[in-house]
Parts: sequence; structure tokens; C-alpha cells
Amino acid sequence: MRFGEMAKRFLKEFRLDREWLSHKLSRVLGRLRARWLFRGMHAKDLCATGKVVLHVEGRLQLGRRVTFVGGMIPTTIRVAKGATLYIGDDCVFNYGVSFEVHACVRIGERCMFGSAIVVRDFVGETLKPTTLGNDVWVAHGAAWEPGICVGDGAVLAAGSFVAKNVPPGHLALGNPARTMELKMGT
Amino acid sequence: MSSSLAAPPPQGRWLSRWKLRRCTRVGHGTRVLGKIWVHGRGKIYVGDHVFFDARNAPIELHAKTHATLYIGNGCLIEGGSSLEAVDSISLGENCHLGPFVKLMDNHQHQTTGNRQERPSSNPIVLEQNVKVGAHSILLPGAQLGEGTLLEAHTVVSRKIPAGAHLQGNPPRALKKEPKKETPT
Repeated sequence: MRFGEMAKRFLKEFRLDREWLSHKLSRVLGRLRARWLFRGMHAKDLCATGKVVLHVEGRLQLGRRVTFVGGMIPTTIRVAKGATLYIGDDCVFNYGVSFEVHACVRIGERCMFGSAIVVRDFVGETLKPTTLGNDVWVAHGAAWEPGICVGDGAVLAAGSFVAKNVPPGHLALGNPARTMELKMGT
Repeated sequence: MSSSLAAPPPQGRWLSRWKLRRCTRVGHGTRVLGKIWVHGRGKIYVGDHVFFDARNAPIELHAKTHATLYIGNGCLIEGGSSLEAVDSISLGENCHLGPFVKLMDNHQHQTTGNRQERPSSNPIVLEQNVKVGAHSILLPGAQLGEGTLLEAHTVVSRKIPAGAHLQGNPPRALKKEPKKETPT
């Protein structure tokens, strides 16, 4: 039944929208690539539609259905010895996100990351564990001071530099970032 | 002027055309060095004597379906820049985009409510002789007047009058004239 629907949609959409087909194809290839890249890790339904460079000496714990979108710049994941990186379920990372973890970074569920973000927990020699809550949206080019805690449903705006903790449901904007309340519908 | 900053080498004419084969129109004398990623089903118009200098990092040109991306004559676009049009982006003549500049005319996600829905887009317009510094971000609704100069790491999301010199996030006007280079 489901296959029939798929075939119908395939025939219908092929003429109208080739984007849908290429999207699906890249998704299938991405799943295969992720299965190979993250082999031996207890993570399921991952997808990596692009190049991912892995240098994992510590612990990397990935949730389910994490997506690494490919693009201009490859994604790099660098976890030092004794460090831990937790990524929750349903997170989406756009191209060019690089993880530089030397102590501990926790990323909650359903987070969205824009392109060209450096996820780090150190500056120079100071290491501080960093936590991002659930439903956090980090826009293109946002950066933060290590050791901050971002609440659930917060948004870090494009190009902002966050030096203080962001309360849940707030928008951090500017450099240095000021926070203002967002009214989340759900 | 952009042409004096980095004159494109004379070779590589057909290779440049091949790299820009997915654009709707490409002017003469346009050069591409390095890797350029053109995707999307929208219309991309590239003017004459445009120089894409992607030697240090690739450049992205993305026009979604029914979107238009217009690059004027004599523009210089450096590596790592990405232009993503959902509705329309237009660069005037002799614009200069520095390395790792991001132009997006749609936020792609809503801040409130359902995050997966795409909000309405707001076109980006750059008029003539605009210079954008490295790592700057132009958000939906950015309209830069003629001869605007943005320093590095500037984030703009509104209308800027002609001849302004801005810096920072949120952007502030610099009153001082930039230091003139000593004549040699």
C-alpha cells in the first residue's frame, strides 16, 4: 500500500518537481553514508548528506534521527580524549558546523543549527562545560562564550555573540547579546 | 573599485562558463577561480566582468524555485560567500562582497509557532559600489544604498541610506572617515 503511494507520487512528481526526487535520493545516500561513518556507535536513523570529518577520541553520543546537511564546507566533529559530546534526538545541523569539544557539550532534542557555527567549550586554556536545551535554534554565524547555558526554545540570532546564560524561550541578539522574550506558540 | 582590487586573470574563460552553466544568463568576461556551487531552480543572472574568487573557499549561489538572483556588472565576490535567494536578491554594479559573507532573504524558520514553516521573505537590494566586509551577514530586508561600506562582522537587516559606513551588530554608523592609504 505504502509502496503504491510512493510510486504514484513518484510518477506525479517527476515531471513537476525534480527537486523532491533529488532530495529523496540524497537522503537515502546520506543514510548509507551515516551508517558507514558512525559505525560502531549506538545511534540509529542518522543522515549525513555531505562530507563529515570525524576525529573522535573521547565519547560521542548521538540521538536518533540526527541530520548533518552537506554543502560548501564539510562538517567536522573533534572530541578530545576524556571529553564528551551529547547530541539529542532530531537535531539538524547545516553545513560547515564544526564541533570542537575538549570538556563536555550537551545539545538537547530538536535543535536546529545554521551554517558555519563552531560548537566549542573552551577559549585558550579555560574549559567549561556548555549546555544547550531542547528546541534551540542557532542561526548562521552565532557564537558563544564557553560555560553558558541556553534554555529550552531559545533562539540565538544570526551573527550574535552570547556571553551570558539565555533563559528559556528568549531570543539572544547582537554582539554582546541582549536577550528578549519570544512568545512560543507551542 | 573592485576591478582594481584583484584583476581576474585572462585565462580560464571556457572553464568559468562551464562552472556557471546552471545560471540563466552569464555576461562576458566573467571569471571563476576555484569551486562554485550553483543550485536551485530559480533564475540566476550574472552580469559582465564579474569575478568569483573562490580560491580559499567555495562560493554558493542558490535560487529557490521562482526566485531571482541578480549579480550586476563588475562585481567581485570572494570565497566562502553564500547568496541564498528565496524571493529575490540583487547586487548593483561594482559591488564587492568580502570572504564568508552570507546573504539570505528569508529566515527559513519561524521564531514563534511551528519552526518548520517558512516565513514570508523580504528581498535584499544592494545598490552600486557597495562594499561588504568579511563575515558580514545581510538578513531579510537589508537594502544598502549607493556606496555603503560595511566593516567586517556587520549584521544588517534594514534599509541603509547611501554613503553610510557601518560596523557592528546591531550596526552603528562610524562618523570618522576610514583612514586613507598613504600615497607611495
